[in-house]
Amino acid sequence: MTLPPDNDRVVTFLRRHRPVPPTASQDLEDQIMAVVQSEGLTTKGRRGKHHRWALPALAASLLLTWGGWVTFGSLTQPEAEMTEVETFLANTWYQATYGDEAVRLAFDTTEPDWLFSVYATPY
Amino acid sequence: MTAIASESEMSTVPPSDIELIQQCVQGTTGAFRELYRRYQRPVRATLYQLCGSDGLDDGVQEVFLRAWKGLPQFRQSSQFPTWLYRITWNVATDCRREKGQRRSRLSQLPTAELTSDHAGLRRLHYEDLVQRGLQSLSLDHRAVLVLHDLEDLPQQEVASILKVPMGTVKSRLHYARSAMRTFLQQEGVQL
Repeated sequence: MTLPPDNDRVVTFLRRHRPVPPTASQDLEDQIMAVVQSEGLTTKGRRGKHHRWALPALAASLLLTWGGWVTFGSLTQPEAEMTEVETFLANTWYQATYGDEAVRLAFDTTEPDWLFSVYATPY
Repeated sequence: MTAIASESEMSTVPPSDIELIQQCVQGTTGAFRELYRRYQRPVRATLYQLCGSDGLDDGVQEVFLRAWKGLPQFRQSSQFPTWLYRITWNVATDCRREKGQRRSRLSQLPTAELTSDHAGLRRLHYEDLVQRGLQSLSLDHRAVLVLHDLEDLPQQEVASILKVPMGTVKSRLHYARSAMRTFLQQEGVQL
């Protein structure tokens, strides 16, 4: 890499006169090796890394399962309950519109196109 | 004869860093001694230039003990020296935090090296100037200057060690050199 002349001179000066660290104490290497040998090397860290993910993953999957059950459970009502609700809605709507039970037409809400017949009914 | 020579050459090829690390992980502590001997000089020099001479042996010991404990997590995709420099940088940061900012003084220079001849004194004077100049920089600027200009690491590797973008390394390097030049000129050095 080509340095600008000014920088080049600074870097050259720094390299030429870089401070030399004081010599290490003679037994530094042995001290370090003594600690290393006494402590040994455990590979728990690597296994622990996987374990660290296990608990949050389990919690997340439980949460998702519960959330899914609440959401979809409320959407899928039993068939009989749905029919009952539809009948109630039809009755309420019809009563509010005509207010007379005599002129009430019978709608079969179990038929898929029963709502069309409601709109086709003359007021 | 040639075959024997090449065979003996092959047998004396020193083990790679990765091979030594694998031996360490398998429990061979002797392999770690080899790693220590291979890298103690740059670790020591970097720590000295970043933190000064106080507690230097303790700092070096801390770096290598952290490295030892971290070996099982060392990813072989990365370079061992880069990883070790990263640990050195962390130890230097902790060291600076503990000590606070303070300047090195001439009295910290090893007295055994003091000589009476003129060239020797001038050399010591210049070394002291460089050391004081480095200490006058912030730790971030000093680290870039030490790793790139003194330890001769490429900018990409410095960025990786310090976990900063390349642009930051470039700008810090520019500022640090400029500040160093100003400092040296104020001290009477003709550049």
